[in-house]
Amino acid sequence: MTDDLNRKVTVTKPAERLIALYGAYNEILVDMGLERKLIARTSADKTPESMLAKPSIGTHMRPNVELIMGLKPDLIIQNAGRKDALVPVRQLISQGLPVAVFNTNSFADLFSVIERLAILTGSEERGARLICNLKQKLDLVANTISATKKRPSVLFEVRYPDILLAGQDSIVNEVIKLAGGRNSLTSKKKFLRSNIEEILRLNPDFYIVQRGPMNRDPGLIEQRPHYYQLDAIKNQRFFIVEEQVFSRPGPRSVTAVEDLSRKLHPEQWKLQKRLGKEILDSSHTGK
Amino acid sequence: MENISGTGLEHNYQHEKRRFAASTIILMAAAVTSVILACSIGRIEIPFSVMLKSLASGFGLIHDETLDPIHRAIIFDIRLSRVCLSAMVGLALAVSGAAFQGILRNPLADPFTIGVSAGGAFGAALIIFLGLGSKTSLGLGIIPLAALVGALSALAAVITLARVDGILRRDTMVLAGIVVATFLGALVSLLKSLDEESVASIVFWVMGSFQGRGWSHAIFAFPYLILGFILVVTYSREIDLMSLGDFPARHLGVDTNRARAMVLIGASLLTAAAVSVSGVIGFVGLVAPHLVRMTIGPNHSRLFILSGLLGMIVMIWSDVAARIILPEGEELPVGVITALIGGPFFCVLLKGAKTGTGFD
Amino acid sequence: MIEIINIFAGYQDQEVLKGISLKIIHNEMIGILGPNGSGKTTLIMALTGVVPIKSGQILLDGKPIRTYPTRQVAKRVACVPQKSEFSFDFSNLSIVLMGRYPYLDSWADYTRQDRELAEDAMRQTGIMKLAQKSVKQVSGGEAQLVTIARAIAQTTEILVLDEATSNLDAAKKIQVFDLLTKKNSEGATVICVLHDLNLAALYCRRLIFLKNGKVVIDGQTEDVFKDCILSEIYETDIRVSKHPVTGTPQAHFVPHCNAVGSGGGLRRTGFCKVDKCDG
Repeated sequence: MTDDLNRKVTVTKPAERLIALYGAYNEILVDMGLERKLIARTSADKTPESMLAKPSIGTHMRPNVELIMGLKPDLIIQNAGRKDALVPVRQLISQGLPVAVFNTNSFADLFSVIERLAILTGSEERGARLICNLKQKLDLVANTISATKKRPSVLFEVRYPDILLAGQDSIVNEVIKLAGGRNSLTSKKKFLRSNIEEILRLNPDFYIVQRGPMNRDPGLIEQRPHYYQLDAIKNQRFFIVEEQVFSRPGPRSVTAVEDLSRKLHPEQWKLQKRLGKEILDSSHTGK
Repeated sequence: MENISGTGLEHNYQHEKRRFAASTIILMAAAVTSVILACSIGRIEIPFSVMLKSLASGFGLIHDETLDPIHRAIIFDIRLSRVCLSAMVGLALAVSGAAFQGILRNPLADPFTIGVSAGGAFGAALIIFLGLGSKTSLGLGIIPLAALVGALSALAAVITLARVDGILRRDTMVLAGIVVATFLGALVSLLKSLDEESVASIVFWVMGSFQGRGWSHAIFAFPYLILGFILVVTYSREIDLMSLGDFPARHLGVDTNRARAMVLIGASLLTAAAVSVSGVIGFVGLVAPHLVRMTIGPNHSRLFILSGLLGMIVMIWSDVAARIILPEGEELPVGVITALIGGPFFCVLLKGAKTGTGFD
Repeated sequence: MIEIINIFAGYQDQEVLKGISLKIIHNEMIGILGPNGSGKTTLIMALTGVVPIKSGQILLDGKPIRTYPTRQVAKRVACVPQKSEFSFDFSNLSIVLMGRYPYLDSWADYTRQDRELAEDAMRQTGIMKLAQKSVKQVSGGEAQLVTIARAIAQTTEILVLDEATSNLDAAKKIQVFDLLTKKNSEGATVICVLHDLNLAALYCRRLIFLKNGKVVIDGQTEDVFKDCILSEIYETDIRVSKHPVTGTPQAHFVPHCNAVGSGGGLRRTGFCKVDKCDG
């Protein structure tokens, strides 16, 4: 098995004692029904609630190597999103611990990670089932919005008041695309520091604000200076969403797609609800 | 009279005075022009005439029904407020830099030497860490208020530490400043390591930016800035005399303890005003006073006025660069711009100057 | 008039002045002398009000000097320090103009009269040609002259100088002291700290000798400028003779070893132990 750093990761037998240093990977494993194999969590992982019972081994970027070694894991999983996150990885590898590093910036990445995690834990079947399940949900969204050609522009706020917007190279970008919108921001970057004038210039149809560790207290959007001039604000097309759901590539990214598409295309979903069963069936047969 | 005109000294004096007046007028004109030009630059293209009309209507000079309210808002509320704020901060940093250099008689002193910025940074970092960044008070975020309180507390701590037998000594002052700044810097690092997700916000705040600041910030900083400016300008002649040393200045009639305390408080108020609304922006407080001192000499009352104007101009254009230098409307911290321009410029200044920096 | 009553002063825990009492009346010309570390500079700083005294009193015209606002003192007493710092590139004229500070209204600039007085002071000290030069570009001696000019521009009734001529050549020393004598004859009180005994004897009418923070002798020059007194204070052999022109007493130091030859002798004096050198 090769991880996203192009390193060979080998396990002689299916991994039984896992530590994921990134919340989304915990979620994947939980969704695969492998929660019992997780022997620890990072201090930020609080969902599902049952995870809280497991010992915390520090943070995503600065895990405590001693604590990890003491738990004798047979596989450690890390996300390569930030360069800093690789520092502890090197440390752990030098201690002879098996570490797999993944990078998820798209749904393709996500499915590939699920597949590989399934192989490493010897639960290919569960993995396939999870992927199928997620793909089904995405198909439903795709079907629902296929009836309309409208692709409203969406601007996704990562942080305020030191404004940071989501660019094209982010999972958010794909979430927007799959939900039937298009990212107002054409920058190829993951994040872009911007300013109010640029937001006014872009004047998106929808303005989405994430709330979470990056954007702790976005406040009342409609009361921010100058925001009243945005069409999205005038038309009540602005929403606050959970950072954990939208900005962390994991199973919940699918939830994010569903959620966002309902906001972008409410009329299609109303229609779909009426014809719900029929469409569901057709998507099943289409598979 | 006869003896004076005979030697040409009086002529020389009048010449210097005219030179100062001319420099002031030129820099003032440049500052006003910079404000207007800076308002015309931005991501949204607005014709120059519309820009001028928007400015005029913003000040209530004309009423033009044809004016797009969005253009007016962009020019007057977004760009002009930001340009004015950067001008204020530029003035504050340049003047306080000149004051600190004068009173500490240290060419490397800048507005941040005695730990005022570290206090501001800690105040702001604490608010960001607690996730109160968008809470508002007095019509603006709570961050400026916290930064101001932090900056002034740091000043109080430094003065308390530096007082020996009721006398403020300039060497203990610098030492106390370093101690306080280092300690507060450690506290900021502590906050950063306690919360990985806030790091970026804290780092960006500390680097300095005018993004998202508006009239409310300008109004917030204004009283401290004015008070600080009046204090240092009032004591500018005393700073001249104190450059001779404490005892000579007292022999000439300067109440040195009072003057030093007033200048330090004034300069710190200026710094605190700047830091609280813009973060920590380096080099302007170093480059502007040195450049002026090399051109018109060390007279502090003149130095304050001219370096204040120069600081305004430098900061306005640095912020314009911060707004437009990257593609796709990406913002750079303005502190990065001033450091990138200021660093090399300062080196050239020091190397090229025949008269030195005006310091020993 | 300055009255010093039993003052003790010093820095931190080190006492430099240990009970000094003096009375300086109007229009005196006084030399303060004494070996290194005897407290001369501290006395000057105390009587100009910049160094606080621990006990005793210094009265300026009957009132304690520390109760005067600094500016009021500066209008009466000008001081030329031993050494000046010049941190900035001020022109010499600007430095001399600073002598006019005590008379300045807050916010106002120096007036034309101030500039004339400053220029006059520079002419009197012979540094007119340096007026526009930077104070950092002139020699140490010239900088001393600039500082003296500043004190003169201060137009005070009392002039205090702390070894103000130590860096000057002989001709300039004479020029400065001639100037001080002139100021004295015009009514100024002059108090100068000196190392040069002969210069003091030439110009000062009253001499005060300090040693170990105390006044050892205080009197008219011709009364105190004696072989035995000088030798005892400086703990070396000193002889006094008359100046060939003015008739004022002048001191001559007797070397322990004579470089010139055997003729000039080394003789024991009554006051200090001098071991005979061989050869």
